[in-house]
This record gives sequence, structure tokens and C-alpha cells, in this order.
Amino acid sequence: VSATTILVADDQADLRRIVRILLTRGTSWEVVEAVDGDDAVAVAAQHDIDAAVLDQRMPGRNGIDVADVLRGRGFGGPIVIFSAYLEPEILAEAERLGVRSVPKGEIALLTEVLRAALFPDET
Amino acid sequence: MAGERRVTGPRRVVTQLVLVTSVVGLLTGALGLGVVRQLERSTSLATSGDAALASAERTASVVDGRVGALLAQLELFATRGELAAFGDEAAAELAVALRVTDELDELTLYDSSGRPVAAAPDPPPDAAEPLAPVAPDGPDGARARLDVDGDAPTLVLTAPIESPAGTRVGVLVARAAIAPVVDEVTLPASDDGRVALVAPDGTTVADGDRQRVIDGYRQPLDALPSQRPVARVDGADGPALLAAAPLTTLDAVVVVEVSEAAIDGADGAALRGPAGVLLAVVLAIVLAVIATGRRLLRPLGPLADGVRRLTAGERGVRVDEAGIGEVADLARGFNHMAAALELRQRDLEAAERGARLNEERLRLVVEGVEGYAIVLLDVLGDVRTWNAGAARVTGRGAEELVGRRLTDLAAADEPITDPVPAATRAGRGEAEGWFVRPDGSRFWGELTVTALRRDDGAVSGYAAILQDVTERRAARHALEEALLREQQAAAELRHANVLKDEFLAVAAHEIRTPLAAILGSANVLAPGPFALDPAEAEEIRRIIWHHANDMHGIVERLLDVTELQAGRVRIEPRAIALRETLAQVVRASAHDLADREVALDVDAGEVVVDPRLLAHVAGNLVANAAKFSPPDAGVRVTAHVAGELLELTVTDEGPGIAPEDHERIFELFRQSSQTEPSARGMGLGLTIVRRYVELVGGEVTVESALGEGATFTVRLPLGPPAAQSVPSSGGRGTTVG
Repeated sequence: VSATTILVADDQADLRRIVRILLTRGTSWEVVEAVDGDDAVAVAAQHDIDAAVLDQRMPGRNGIDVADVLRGRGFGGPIVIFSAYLEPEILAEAERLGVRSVPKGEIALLTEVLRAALFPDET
Repeated sequence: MAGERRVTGPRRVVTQLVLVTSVVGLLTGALGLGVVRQLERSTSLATSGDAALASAERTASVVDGRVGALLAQLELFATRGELAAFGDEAAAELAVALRVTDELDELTLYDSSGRPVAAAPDPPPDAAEPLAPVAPDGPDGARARLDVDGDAPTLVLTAPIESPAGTRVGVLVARAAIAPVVDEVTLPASDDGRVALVAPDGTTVADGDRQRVIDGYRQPLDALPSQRPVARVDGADGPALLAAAPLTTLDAVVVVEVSEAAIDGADGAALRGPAGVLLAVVLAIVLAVIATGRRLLRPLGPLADGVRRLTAGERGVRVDEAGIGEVADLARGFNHMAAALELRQRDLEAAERGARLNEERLRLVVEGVEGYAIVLLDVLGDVRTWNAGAARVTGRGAEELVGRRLTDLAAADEPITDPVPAATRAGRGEAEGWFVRPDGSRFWGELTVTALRRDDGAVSGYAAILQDVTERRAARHALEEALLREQQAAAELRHANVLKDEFLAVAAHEIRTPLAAILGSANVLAPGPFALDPAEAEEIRRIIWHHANDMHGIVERLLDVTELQAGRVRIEPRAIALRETLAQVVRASAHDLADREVALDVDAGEVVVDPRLLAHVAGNLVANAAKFSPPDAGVRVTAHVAGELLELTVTDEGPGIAPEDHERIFELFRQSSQTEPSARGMGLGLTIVRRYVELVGGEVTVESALGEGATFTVRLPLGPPAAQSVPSSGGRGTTVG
């Protein structure tokens, strides 16, 4: 059984660092990082990821675009988008793709959200 | 005297009228008299002619009766049988016949051969001349003829002898003196004139006056017309009326001759009556004309006098309206006319007084107007009149300008188009421009020229109004400028509003990133089952410090921009040690510089400059250089005094700036188009630098090419700066607040 692998895409290095610390503290999860949307698509192809955490605002592809590509590839795992606020049409698109959103200020929720999505039986 | 002559005019005309009428009347009367007399005479002549003709015809019928009776007598004799025997008994029979009648003088019987057979009274038949042989079937009945060959004219009667009846075997010829036959007829006719028996050739055969017969007087029968044989002829005793009537029994004519003297003498008395009446009528007419003329003339005198007085300008002239017919009408008409004239004259005088008053008022107004030059131009457009306003506005007197053109007063370097041609074409022409006064001062003049036209439309001159509108123009320009400024301010406000929105967007975005990092860090630091190891804790602390510093810098710059925009930055120059100040700035930029080296090269001691301004400018330039430089690249800062300027340069080893971006990078919220997305900031730093520099009249420039780094050079004026007019030099800064 391989370790749970999570893709973290954000153009801000410090945020990637913080998210990594949050997601790996007390878990056996592994984090792979991407510096923007295009990098996220590439990194996702290289790793067998179980979940994706995407910043909505990134140079190149934004979070929803990356989610769209991943779903297009048949990725069915949980996807979480960091965004304080999603425009209605992006929200609709997010629902269509089964993407959840978490505000950046509530970054501590990220671990719980992912855990609930990945392991619904472990409550 | 002229008036007198005029007065005598009508009178003389009336007198002449009376005279002419009289003369014409007299002439007409005389002519009428003559015509009447002529008519009367013609009438009397005609009447006398008719009478004469009737008399002639009556006499002719009487003579015919006598001759007819003789012929009947002779025919009776011719039927005697004894005669047809041509024997002795025939002679006896002739003698008996001659005794029976006392009207026949001689009877001769001829046989068929024309040989006289018997005669009475008793001369030998041989004495008688033979006749032409008698044709057995000659004309029927007895015939008569005149024989004028002898001393006395005789009547010759012939009757055929027939045996048996119808066959002529001889002729019985009788002779008779004319006189006994005619005298009875001619004598009584003497009252109506002469009656005469006349042979066809005009020879008088019988007449009351035997002398004519003897003289063989020939009546002028040729003068008689055949239709109505009456005519005026020159008779034996002078002009006479001749009428003729032919006889049926005899080849002769009865003539009645009436002398004209006799006719006139008889009609004279009758003719004097109508002529006298005519004369009297003419005289009456002449008298009536004279009387009428006098009646006409009498009232005309006062009328003429009234006309003369009216002409002389006298008021209230009225004439007596008494008089007859048209003269009274004339007098009434004259009075009405005089009244109307007086009324009209009063109106005219009133109007004239009004017009004079208006003209005088207008003249006073025009002369008194000082704000405007009101000038009349002649038909050529040259000045004719000059009012006080003209003198005041132009500073020149009438003597200088009359005869010249108003546009001559224009400033020599800015000639004014003469509006007179435009006024000629369109009725009105306008021009404006600088006019010069004799003292050299200028005024901006508005010149309006209006064409003045006669009734027939031809231009008779122009009215020109020149007004000094220098102040008005200045006010207008000031207004326009103010409006322009308002518009600019409004545009700036709109721009500022756009910038504000952009500013807020940029600020929100810029702040969100460090804020998110700080928030995330705070989440990581929250108490929980899993403790951070010391390295992680230091890492988190560093992240918080770094992003808080970012936020601090952002807030500082936003405040700077806000203060610059609001013009609230106070410039307080003072003497500072340049090197120490710049070293302090570099130290304060440690966060931005990270671990980069800064080479500081200062070649100046104390300078007088606003230290806060210098710190902002140098700090922003250093931060900018560090931001766009690789982590291991150095930043070089130099400063030296060049004349009155402090020259500060900051050089980096970054990617450089394309020439087309050299200006753009100083604009608010703008960055080089080559800036990496990850390196993008708010675009405030260089804007703040430029605003500060320009605030004190300095400048900031950049030298750079892609791939060769960049050098920013700032030149700030040294020494105590002049009084600061903070808002205006900012350029983009708004003055409100």
C-alpha cells in the first residue's frame, strides 16, 4: 500500500511550505508541489496522486482549469481549491467538477476536509 | 407784384372768356343770319320756281285747248264733201268756212299732188306754193305747227281730205296769227312774270311784250333741265327764274319768266323777321355770358385772394361760401383744402419737431457714449464722424481719423481684415483684433460695420461700432481657462477614481498574499497534538516576519502615494550628512535586499535636502533594484554633488528594461512588460520616486537595455528651495482635500 500522495499547487513558495507542514504533521501523507497551473498538470501526470490542493489564482492555468484537466484524465479523487471567494460561474463549474473550496484564511480546515474525503470511514 | 399778377390771372381769363364768347356769339349769329337768309332765299326761289312752273303748265293747257279747238274746227271743215270734189264748190265752201270762224285767217285746199286747188279769202290759188304730194295713207287727224319764217309767226294747221274715209285725197291748210290765240293767255300772266310761247329753238313766238317777238328774242331753253324744267337764267332783264311747259298740240313751249328782283322784292319783308330775332338772341346770349362772367368773377376774386394768402403762409384763411353752383362748391372746397392743409402742416411741424428732438437726442446719446466708438463711414468706408466714445476708445481725435479707415488703427503686426466689404455684401461685417492707441497701449477691439442703404437699396455709407473688449476678452479667456481647468480636473478626478479602483484592487491583491501566508502560519502555530520541531518553528516565524514586512512596505508606499496624491507632503530641507543618511536607507532596506550586497559610493559631505524625501527616493530605488535582481547579484548606489544638484544613481544587474517601457515604469500601478509575473508588485515604487523628485523640481531618468541591468539617476536641487507650491508640480496630483 503506497502512501497517500497530495498535489499542492501555489505560486507562493511560503504558502506551499505552510500547506506542506499542515498536511504532513501527524500523517503519513506525501506532498508533491507545483509552482503554477501548468506545473500542476505536469506534476499530476508524474505522480499517482490521491488528492489535489490548488490555488485558484496562479499564473498560467488557474485552479479550476487544472481541476478540469485532472477530471478529464479520469482523476476521481478529492480536489480542493484555495480561494476566499469564487465567482458564481466558477462556483458552478466547481460543483460540476466535484471540487470543494476552502478559504485561505481557513487553511487549518484543509487536513480535515481532505481526510474526510479520502477516508470517509474513519471518522 | 408776382402775387398780384397771379391774382389778375383768373380775372383776365374770365374777361377773355366773356370777350371770346361774345365774339364767337356774334360771328355765329352773323353766320347763322347768312345761312338763314340763304336758306330763305333758296326756299323762296324754289317756291317761285314751283309757282312759275305751275303757271307755265296752266298756260300751256289753255293754249293746247285753243289750238285743239282750232284743229277740231278744221277737221270738221275737211269733212265737207264739196272740198273732196276740188271743184268750184270747194272754193265757195272755204269762203263759207272762213266766215264761220274768225280765228283762222286763211284756208287753202291742196289736191293729192300738192297743187293748191282753192283758197280763201280769195287769192289765186297759184299764189300759194305747192305742197309735197299727199300720201294716201298719211297720218290721221289734223295737226298744227308754227311758221316763224315770215314777219310775224303764224300758226299753220293741216287736216287731211279723205274720200272715201280713210283714203287721203288732199290737204286743207289753215293759217292763223299767233297773237289772238295766245294774247289772252300771256297777258294775264304778267303778275307772275312774263308768259311767252316759244318755238323749240327758243325763238319767242308770242309774248305780252311784242318787242321780243319782233326782235326774235331767244329764250335760254338750253339751261332748263329736262326733268323739272325750272332754272335760274340770265334773262333779257337780268337774272330770272325760268319755267317751261311743252304744248301737246303744237311743237312749242310755254315759258314763264320771273325776274329775281321781283322775287326778292316780294320776300324782303318776310326775311327781316327771323334775322332780327336771331340777332336779338345773339345779343341776349352775349349779355348773358357777360353777366355770368361777372357773377363768376365776383366770388373768384376773394378766392384768388385766399389762395394768395394761403400761399403766403397765412393761417386761418377762409372765403365766403356764398355764390352760385360750382363757385360755391369751389369756395367750400377751398375752405376744406385750407383746413386740411393747416391740419397737415401742424402734423408735419409736430413731426418735424419730434424728428429734430429725436435727432438731437440721438446726437447727444451718440456723442455722449464713451464705451463705444460710434462712427459713420462714407460710401467708401472712410471715417466721416467721430464721437466721444471713439476718442476715448482709440485715444485719437476726429482730426486724426476722419478720411482714414478704422482698420488703420490695428496693430501693425496683426492686421485686421476690413469688415466693410462684408458689410457691403451681407449688410453687416465684423472683425476683431488688437488696436493700438497713440501711447502704444493696445486694446482688443470688436468692430461691427453695418451698411446704411438708401430707399433704392444702394449703399450710402456705413455705421461702425468699435468697442474695447480687452477686459471682457480677458475675462472670457479666464473663464475658458477655468472651464478647461475644471474639465481637466474632472478628467483627473475620473482618472483618479479609476486609479483608486485599481489601487484598491492592487492593494487588496498585494496584501492578500502576505496576509494568506501570515494566516496560514497562524493556523500552523495553533495548539494541537502535533508540535512543531524547532526548525519548523523558525521557518514559520521567518515566514510571518517576511510577509509582515511586505505588508508594512505596501502600506508605507500606499500612504506615500496617498499623501503625494493629496499634496500633503511637506518638504523640509535641512543639512544632512549624505553618506550616513544613505547608509541608513540601505540598512532599512535589508528585508527587500535579502542577502544582496549593496555598494555605496558617496562623494559628498553635508547637503541641504529633505531627509525624508531622500530616504523615500533612495529606499524605493534600492527596493526596486533588489526586487528585479537575481538573489546573488549586487546593487550599486552612488551619490555626488554636481553644481546645484545632488546626483544619485542606483544600478542593478537585473534583466533590464526595454526602451519602450522607460516611461511606463514610472506610471502608477505600471511595470515593465517584461516583468515576471511572480515578481510583479504594485507598481508603486518608481511612481513614488518620480513624484517626490518632481515635487522639488528634480528629475529621475533610467538607462537600460534588455539583459543589461538598469541605472536609475535622480537629480535633486540643493540648497534652500523656494517656497513650495506642492500640488501644482505633482502633475497628476489632485488639488482637492
